[in-house]
Amino acid sequence: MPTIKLVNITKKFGKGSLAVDKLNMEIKNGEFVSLLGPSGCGKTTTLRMIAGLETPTEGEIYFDDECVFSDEKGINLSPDKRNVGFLFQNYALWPHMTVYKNISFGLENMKWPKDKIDARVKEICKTMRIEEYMNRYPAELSGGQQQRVAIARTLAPNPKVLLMDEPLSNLDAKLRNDMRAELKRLHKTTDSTFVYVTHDQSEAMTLSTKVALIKLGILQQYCPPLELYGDPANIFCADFMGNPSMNFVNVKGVKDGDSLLLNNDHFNVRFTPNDPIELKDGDYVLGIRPEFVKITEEGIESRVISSLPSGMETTLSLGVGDVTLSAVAFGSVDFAMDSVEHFNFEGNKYVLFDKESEKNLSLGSLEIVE
Amino acid sequence: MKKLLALLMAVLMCLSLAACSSNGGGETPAETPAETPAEEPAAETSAETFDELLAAGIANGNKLTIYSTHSVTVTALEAFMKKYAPEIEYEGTQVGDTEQITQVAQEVKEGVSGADIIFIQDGGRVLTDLVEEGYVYNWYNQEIKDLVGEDCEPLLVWDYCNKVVMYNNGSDNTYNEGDITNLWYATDPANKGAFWMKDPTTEGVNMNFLVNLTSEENAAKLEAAYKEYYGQDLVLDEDCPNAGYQFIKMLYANEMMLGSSDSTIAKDIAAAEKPQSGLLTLNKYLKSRGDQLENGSYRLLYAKDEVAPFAGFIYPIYGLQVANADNPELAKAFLIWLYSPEGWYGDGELTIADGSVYKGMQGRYGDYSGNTSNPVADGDMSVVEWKKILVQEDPEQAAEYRADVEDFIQLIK
Amino acid sequence: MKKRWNRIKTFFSKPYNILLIAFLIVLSFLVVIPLISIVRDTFIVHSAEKSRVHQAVGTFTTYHWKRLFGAQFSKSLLWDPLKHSIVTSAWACVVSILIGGSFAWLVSRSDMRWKKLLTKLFIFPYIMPSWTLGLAWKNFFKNIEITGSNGIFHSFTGITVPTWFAYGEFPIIIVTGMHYAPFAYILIGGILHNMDANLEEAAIILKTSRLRMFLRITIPIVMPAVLSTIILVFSGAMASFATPQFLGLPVRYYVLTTELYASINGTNPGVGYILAMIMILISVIIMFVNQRLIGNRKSYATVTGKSANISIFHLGIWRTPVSIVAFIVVMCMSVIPLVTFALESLLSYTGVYDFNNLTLSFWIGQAQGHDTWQSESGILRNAEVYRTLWNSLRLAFTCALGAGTLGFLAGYSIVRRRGSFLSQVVENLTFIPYLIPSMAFSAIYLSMFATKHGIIPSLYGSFAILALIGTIKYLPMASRSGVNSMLQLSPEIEEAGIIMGVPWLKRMTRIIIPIEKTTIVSGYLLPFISAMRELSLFVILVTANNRVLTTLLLFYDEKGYTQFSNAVNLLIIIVVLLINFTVEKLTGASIEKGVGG
Repeated sequence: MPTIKLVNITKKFGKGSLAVDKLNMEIKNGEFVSLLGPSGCGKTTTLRMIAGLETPTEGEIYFDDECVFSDEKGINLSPDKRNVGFLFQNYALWPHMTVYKNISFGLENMKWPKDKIDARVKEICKTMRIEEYMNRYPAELSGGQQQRVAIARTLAPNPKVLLMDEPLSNLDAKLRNDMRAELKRLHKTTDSTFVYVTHDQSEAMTLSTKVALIKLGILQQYCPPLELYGDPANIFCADFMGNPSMNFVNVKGVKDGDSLLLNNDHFNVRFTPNDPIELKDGDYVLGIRPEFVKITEEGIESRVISSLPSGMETTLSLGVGDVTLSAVAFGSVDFAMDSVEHFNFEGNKYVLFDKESEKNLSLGSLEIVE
Repeated sequence: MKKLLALLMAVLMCLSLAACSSNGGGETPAETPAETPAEEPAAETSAETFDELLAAGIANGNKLTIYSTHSVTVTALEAFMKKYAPEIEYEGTQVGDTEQITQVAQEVKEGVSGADIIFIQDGGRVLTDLVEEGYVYNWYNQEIKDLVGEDCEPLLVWDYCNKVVMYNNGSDNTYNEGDITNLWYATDPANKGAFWMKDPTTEGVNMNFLVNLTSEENAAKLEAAYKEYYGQDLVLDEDCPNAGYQFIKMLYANEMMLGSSDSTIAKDIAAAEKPQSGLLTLNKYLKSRGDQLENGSYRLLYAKDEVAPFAGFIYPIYGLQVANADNPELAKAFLIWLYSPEGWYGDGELTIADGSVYKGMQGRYGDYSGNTSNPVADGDMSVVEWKKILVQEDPEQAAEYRADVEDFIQLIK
Repeated sequence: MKKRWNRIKTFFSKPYNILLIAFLIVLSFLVVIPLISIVRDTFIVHSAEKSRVHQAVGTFTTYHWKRLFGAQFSKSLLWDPLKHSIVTSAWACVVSILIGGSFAWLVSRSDMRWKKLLTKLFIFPYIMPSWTLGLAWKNFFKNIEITGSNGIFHSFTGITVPTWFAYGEFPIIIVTGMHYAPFAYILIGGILHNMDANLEEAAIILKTSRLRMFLRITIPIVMPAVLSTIILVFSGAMASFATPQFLGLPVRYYVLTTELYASINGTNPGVGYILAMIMILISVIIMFVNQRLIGNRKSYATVTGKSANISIFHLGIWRTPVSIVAFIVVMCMSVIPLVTFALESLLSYTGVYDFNNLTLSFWIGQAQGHDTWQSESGILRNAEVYRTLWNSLRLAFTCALGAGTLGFLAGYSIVRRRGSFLSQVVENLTFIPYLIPSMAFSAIYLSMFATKHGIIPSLYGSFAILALIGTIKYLPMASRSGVNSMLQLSPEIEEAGIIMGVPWLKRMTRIIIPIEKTTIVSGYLLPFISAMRELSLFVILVTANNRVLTTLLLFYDEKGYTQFSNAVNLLIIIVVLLINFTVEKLTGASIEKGVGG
């Protein structure tokens, strides 16, 4: 089963505008990889290059050992020869065909026998729970139903690679959650490789086995989602993942043995790296996930700027001088506006970034220094 | 848009109701205008003279409007007004006969001010559509009567035009002068698709000619000529009552070419390098003369008395008074003047609107004054001579049988 | 009672309701009554018919119906011309869709060369008076076998085309098809341009061959445009008179309009009106079938997507050959006819294509006298030409103003009340004039407006009647473009104005008109061009003092003044092109937008 390998893939549009820059990545068989990034970062272009709908300017693409594209060797396998399925953002259902016809059309192209096509269409419709709409036209279906038809059409020929371009972005929140679960289940049952484009970090988090985070055509980090969340490669990655997003505090650091004394105008903390690294004095950015700002009796004093309870947890905005920190308090609690609360740090999931390069230097633990 | 059908259905329904009710006479037959001109003593000669009419017309003072199928009347009007009634407004327009019939009928019927006098061909339709309805009437006075004679009735002839067999001349492949001696040549398979005519369904005088061919007298002549040409007796087809019909049928069966204008046909024939011929107004012959061959002879020639039984036909352009004329007196005076040598040819001094000298019919072939004492152009024959070898339009016979012949053609075309 | 009163009050408080009711009333008068009157005319005796019907003028008769459908005449009067009309119209649809559709595809989907130039030239045939393309064909292809003389084509190539190629069915189809090809290009191009490329990509991914994708995906999706092209072309071709008259007459190939013309101008107008009715019915049926075909289920609302997704098909090694073929076709349609008009207008003697035979005399020379072909002065020093040119411009401008404004208002009110019965009725009413053959339409207007009706004076022979009929006849195109432009404008834009208390007139002039400016101007452009080159609509309504250029052209043509008629024709085209490109440059409007592409 195919492993997709992108080697130095570059795509230029027109003259100068660089959509994808020297992208290298390997998508292993059976993985569910999300291409994540803000709009315009080149993720859709990358997906379309894998499918063969877009021609890279430079580089090579391999499906297993077969080269499907190479600018040097002059290879460019057409999309229909790459055995992929493609799910479009706007579904691209053919408006003049019924649901049944939409799904069977591709199978007919593959010269399946009639009875087999019929059986397969019915089977996939059953799986996607759209049996009762088989004779309707796309315009007669709701968005969610259209989405399921589009998935059914893509899955019907049993593609080993399924490429999806923001397939859930046109759905409402509730439906989107349902479809996420459905996609994840499908990934398990179909046993295919999924490549999924999204700009929604929580979608990438919840669905994928691996996330490729892209910024301005350059791959930032390519790893399992929790690793991306917990150990982001740089400030961009850290900021992009998580909601509410990570707190970034500009600090000055002074070396103190195996740890750094970090200070800003309002508080001082000691950062101890989990693994020893070479430390020196300088400017740093401290990354603190909101869930690691613990509301306690003791600790740094702060003022509650806002409190947004959602039932299961409450998101707080805390002010310490001119520094604002997000915090999450678990449980059904609420806080009065402008009340004074204290917070403290625990655990070793705090991230130290180099101020200049914005690179992740180390994970470590924090301790308040009086 | 589904409603559209429903709408049409409704319309259809309305109409059938309307139609039923109008049966009783909801729509009265075109009301004859108040001052019923049809009762004008058409058969009597008016006693008024040119001088009286001119004076009365100037006293009347209204604008004088003419419609004419012939371009010369328009310039003639300019010359006439300039000399005799310079203070009175006038307008002359060239309008084809079919449009004229529609326009005049409409104008008189609705009481809209239009033409005072019309010059129009296609006597058959003029009689039924205009004269019988009382929209126009025939008028002449003793002065005209003296000049025109019997051509004052049933409709007063202003000008005769003729359409005669014309053919091309030039290389060895075309006709030579005198080649065409019998009108039946046009039905000869050897001349398939090589004989032209302006479409009779759009050119009334051509239709009238075909209708006139079916008269007993002309049919008999055709029958004799057939024997002369083909050397055997004419056997009539079942649908042909006489030789006239048979001739028409064979003409169409021989792929007669239909054109939309005599001029275009004349040019095409003149430029052709194969034998081509047609029935065209003689005027086109003159126009084509400019296009001479290297040896000085003309590309286009026309038949004279050598063709049996006829070399073509001659039809009048009538000068008729309109029922609701604004200045009938001046119109009549103009009409009388047109018969004078001055009106017909100009006197070399008379000028028209743009200041150039009025030449009238000078040098024109194919136009012959109703006043036969006006000489014809050099080289042309007189109308009396022409009448001998041409079918003369009979408007009454044409009016009576036109529908029959049109229907006949409808079936064989 | 009070409730009802309130409902009526609410109804009329909306400007678009007032507009719709106004349209309903006015159009009933100007469109429905003519329809009824056509039907009525099939049952009465006209003055030209006295000698055949032998009844008084104006009395009731079934003569026309009996004659038309009776065993004796039905074949030659009805069935044969009907067959010819249907055959030529249907094939004209095919030709225009093939030419216009493939051109649309090449322009919007391929990397063909010279797109900008070719798209400009491509709409020329629509600007030319429709029959002049027929004349050009005749001038070009006539040859010794048919007329005994040779046309330009033979003079230059020595090739003699067969009769069927020069006259009759084939050239009528080709010429009519070419005349309407710009419609097909604009409508199909519009959809192709907006069509989401994903629809095709989805097929490619599912291993569809290029051909199958084209046949099963691309074609069905442009189908609605193809179908609306069919309505426009079919009805237009069905009603076109001059082309079959010029190209069909010499070989006695008759269609419904030529029969209609012969009947109305001949001795049986009643039959002509039945023929007109049949033509309208056929167009309505086609439209109806069309609507059933498109159906409501397969809504194409999903068709449009990100237009950035357009994939350009690379023609590869075919790029240059294909571009050259397209270039040649466009030249044949648009430029060569103009060249033939110019050439024909410069010949001293027609039919002699020799350098020594060229003269500018018919443009700038003086009249030569009765015994020559130039009995009038050249058109550029001919007062009559300037008078008719001015009259044409005035008329076209008035028609454009009328049809464009009404069309825009109709579009506005129809869209605002979309789905309601009233709006549907008005939408259909605005389209009906397109289906009524010009000649019958003007015959009806002539009898309707010749008489004084209450406050409406007799309009006979006036400029007003020309302006009125032009306005109504071109309303269909203008209101189509109005509907299209309003559909693209979300009602919220106007609602925002309503909430702020901006009165209706101000909302229109300050919000909607500025936003839709180019489309609105385009809605004016099309009626302008149509009126400039219209003949059959005006020919019987024009009287001596309000002649327009096209009737002057016809007059010259009937007189056989070939050089003059060609020169006037060229003059019309040049004037229209100049105005068209000036308006395009100044406002960004274009005919394409006017057709609703």
